Amino acid sequence: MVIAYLPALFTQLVRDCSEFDLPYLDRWQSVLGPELLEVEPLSSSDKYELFGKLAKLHSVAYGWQASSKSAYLTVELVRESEKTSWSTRDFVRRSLVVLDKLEAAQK
Amino acid sequence: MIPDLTQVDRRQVRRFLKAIADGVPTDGLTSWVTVGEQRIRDALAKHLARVRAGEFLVRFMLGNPGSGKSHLLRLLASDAVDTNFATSHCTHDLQSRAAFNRPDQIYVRILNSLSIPGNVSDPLNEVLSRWGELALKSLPPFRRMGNLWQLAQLGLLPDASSIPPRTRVALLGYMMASERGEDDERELFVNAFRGDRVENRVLASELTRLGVAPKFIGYTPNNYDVGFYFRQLATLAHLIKSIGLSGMVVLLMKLRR
Repeated sequence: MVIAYLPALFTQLVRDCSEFDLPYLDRWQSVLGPELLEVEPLSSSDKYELFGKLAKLHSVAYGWQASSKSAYLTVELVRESEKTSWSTRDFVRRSLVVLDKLEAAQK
Repeated sequence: MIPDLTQVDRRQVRRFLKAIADGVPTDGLTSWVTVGEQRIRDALAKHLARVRAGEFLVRFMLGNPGSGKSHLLRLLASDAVDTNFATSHCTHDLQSRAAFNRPDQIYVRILNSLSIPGNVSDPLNEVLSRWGELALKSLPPFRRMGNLWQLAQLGLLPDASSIPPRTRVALLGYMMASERGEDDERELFVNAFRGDRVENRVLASELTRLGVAPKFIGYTPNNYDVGFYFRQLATLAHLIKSIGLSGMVVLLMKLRR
């Protein structure tokens, strides 16, 4: 059984425990610690790889070929994502917007 | 596995791109498009192997909004299906009362989204049907509640005393109705297992009519009876393993606060 949650669940749990001296944390030990699956933000190289895959899929979906301009725009996109801490979903959305524009320009 | 993109249906790829932009997990190209998160992917693969070996595991996945939790759960589901697991999912949704303080609703959703390998339209019926065949072949012809303890010894059920009394009645009733070819009665017992509101007295009287009068059936579970629904789910997971599948993977998503 895998349960996906926002980190706020555990942050609040720890806060409640320290405030009221509750033993909940002991009970949660089996799922905390090394067994906890924490989704980390993507690294820069992961983002380049992800954009490359999205570009491939986009070109298959809409019948065009991503040009060398897309490589330049990827660098911009990755730089911007790191400056403003986009989530992975934001990165995917903005990548697809960029690809839509490139495809429209090429056609 | 790297898909041959020249062979992929263009409309399918468009749907996939729209789904991942919306943050809605989807099938098909999920595995191929996934990047990074190798630590989690390795951990999930190990967890699947441990469940296949017979362990029961609960794991929490934490991540900020949009970090890829749903995507990774979909990836886990896809890997689970590829390795012969039954899978099921439920999203915490206050508006439709599927909240974690309503185990009855969570249970029904888990059952309704149950999926097993192969093209099966009613997976619960299929699991019970395959299990029933195995059980009936393994038992002597005389039916009684003690059959359930015999099946536990044969590994076809968990320790029978860990199964809620009502579920024991439903399982024996299912076997007996199947044996006699009484489809409507069999469906009644399946529905009780599915989480429908079938009262205990109805199940008890039906089993009595079939020839076994249950001495004890407990109480009809209320909406908040976590213990009952959890033990019934554990029983289902055992049935799934007993018919030769690798195990059961349940994915619970908390999307909204």
